[in-house]
Amino acid sequence: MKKIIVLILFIGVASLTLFASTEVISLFVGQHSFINISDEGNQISCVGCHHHIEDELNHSMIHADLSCEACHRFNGTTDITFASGDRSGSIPGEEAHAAYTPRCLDCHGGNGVWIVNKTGSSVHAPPAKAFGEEHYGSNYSAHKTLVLKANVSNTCIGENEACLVCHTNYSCRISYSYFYNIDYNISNWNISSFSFDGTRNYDIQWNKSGAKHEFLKLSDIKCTKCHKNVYDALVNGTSNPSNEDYLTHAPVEIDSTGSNNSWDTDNPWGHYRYHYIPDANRAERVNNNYCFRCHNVNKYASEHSSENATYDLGNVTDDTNSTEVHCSEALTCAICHGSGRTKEVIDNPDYGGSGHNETIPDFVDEVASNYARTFSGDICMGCHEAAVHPDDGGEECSRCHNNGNAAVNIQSEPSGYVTNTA
Amino acid sequence: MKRMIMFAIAVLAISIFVLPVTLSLFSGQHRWYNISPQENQIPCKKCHADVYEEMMNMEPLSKKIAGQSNSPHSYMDENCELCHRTCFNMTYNPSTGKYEKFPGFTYASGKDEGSIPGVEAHAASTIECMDCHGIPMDAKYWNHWGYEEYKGRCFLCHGGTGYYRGKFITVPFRGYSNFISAGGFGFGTTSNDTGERAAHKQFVLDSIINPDMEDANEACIACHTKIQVKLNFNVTSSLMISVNDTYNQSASYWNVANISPGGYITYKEVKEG
Repeated sequence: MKKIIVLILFIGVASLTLFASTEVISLFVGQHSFINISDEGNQISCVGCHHHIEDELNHSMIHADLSCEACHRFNGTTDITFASGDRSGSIPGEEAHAAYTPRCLDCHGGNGVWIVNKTGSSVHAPPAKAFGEEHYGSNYSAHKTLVLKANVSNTCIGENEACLVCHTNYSCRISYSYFYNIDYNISNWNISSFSFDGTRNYDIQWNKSGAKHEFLKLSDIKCTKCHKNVYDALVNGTSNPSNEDYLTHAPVEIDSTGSNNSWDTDNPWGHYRYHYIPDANRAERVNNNYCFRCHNVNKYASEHSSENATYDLGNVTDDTNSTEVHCSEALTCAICHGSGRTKEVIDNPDYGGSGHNETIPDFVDEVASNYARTFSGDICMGCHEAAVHPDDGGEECSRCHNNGNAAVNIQSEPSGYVTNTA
Repeated sequence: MKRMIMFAIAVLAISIFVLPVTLSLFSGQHRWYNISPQENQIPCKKCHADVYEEMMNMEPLSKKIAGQSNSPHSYMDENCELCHRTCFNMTYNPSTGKYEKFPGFTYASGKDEGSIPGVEAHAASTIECMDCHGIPMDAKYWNHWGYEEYKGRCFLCHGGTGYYRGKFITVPFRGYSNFISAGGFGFGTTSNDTGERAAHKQFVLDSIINPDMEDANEACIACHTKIQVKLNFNVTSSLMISVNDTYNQSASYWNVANISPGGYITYKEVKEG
């Protein structure tokens, strides 16, 4: 009974208190506390709503020294008029109010731009080689079609999808489709028949943190993450217990070393093979540097002075278009090994038969000219995969080396399996 | 014991009976405000002390009296009617994507001898920020310089001189044309307002549709005031790219057939007031 009386008394007092209260309960408290924006600079905290992006930038290898405004209120090349309340008057925004979503090329196009960082220092945003030029530079850049497609896609502004997918922790899934295998016959170094067959679907997933504002240093951009089919081909290939694995993308010079020992050692020209990687080193050496050996000779040569001298890469660079590409050149073997090139095919001094050295017209150039780029490398690999080359010599040697005859079936990456028969 | 209780009740009853003072509920309810002078005589802050306090905390009073505040809203602390009885009325037209002029509301007024009954609003309206900040120029549409609430108070918005809290002050001049236009969203607030690169335009457009506040006010106050804001972000974290090798015997190219969002991450943000 007492409890009921106390409860009734409590409810009564609470009701009276509420009834007599003069306090106003206000919805959206703070909506009349306007932020004074008349001082110089930005007084509206971007980070207030975008802490997450601030955290990303704090973990970023690049751009961590830049304020939000440095990128998102950048008008150095864009001529955007942003809204501003600095001083007593104000400037109404025109193309944007508080901020815009920048194209990466706004800063990294042309010759790049100078911007002021958080410490007040002027820092240079370097130009994106080739892609920062008009029409995204030359057509030799392997990834130009990615940039072109990104520019007409709607996920990001401008070409940013292409930039973000390589240069940030934005994750990606790539679904490739390409041919499964090719067949061709060679008679006296003339390709007498050619066919392609099947479709290979290969999906990759490069899982990163997903953070668009975590920019990667260049060495952390791994070619093999997106081109895992090439990595798998180079590192694993298809097992061949009696010899080397079938490894596309790792051609060997065909020489006596193959029949005496293995393909792993020096070649007859007195230095280590440029393309071929010994079994024990594949997982370690198939990396960006390995890719750049062919796909960006200029970069590789400038960063590897010893190899530059050994392999005469200065002249090889002149044979390529690597000075005109963003990061990677789309190429054929003929770029370096065609007629008149620095690494033109030469005869093996240790072995009889001239192979396709000095064929007229040049065999390598013919392959590059008459067959699609996607096939030309595999046509070469039909003979230049270490695994396909027989150890026993004899009659088999003269079939190719003297007569230039072969019937080849070769699979695309990553299996790369080859048969090379009479 | 019972006798004592009976005695106490009797004394209490007699006391109330002979008490000369009348207990009155709602005392003061017959003391009417005289609303016939020109300026507003009804103190908004009596009920909206919290809003008044927010307005007063924007800038020190001494700075405002010294005419050193560049923030127009800071002088509205006791001039609520400049906003909440405004003659301006801009309305977003979804089909054109622009704000358009409409006649202002008729507010109730007891000025002078007669009175004006309110039509769309009585004492005050809940305004849209863009009513003032979406105007390219008056161009004699509202003739706001002659509007009763604004007469002699030009300096509070445009800068200049006038009386504020009984003191004659000079406020930094802010101009007359495009001086408070919220340009950069492509809403036609100025002749050059394209908004074609605006990062937050969708936020504003969604705010216009959202019924919690008038028009785009959610977006305006989220950034321009100290209101607490909670945001749930759902952003792309991954791309899905389809690449098809396109070929015949003699030619090939890698066709990037499609780029689309491949994954999302969600997170919460809280902007403290």
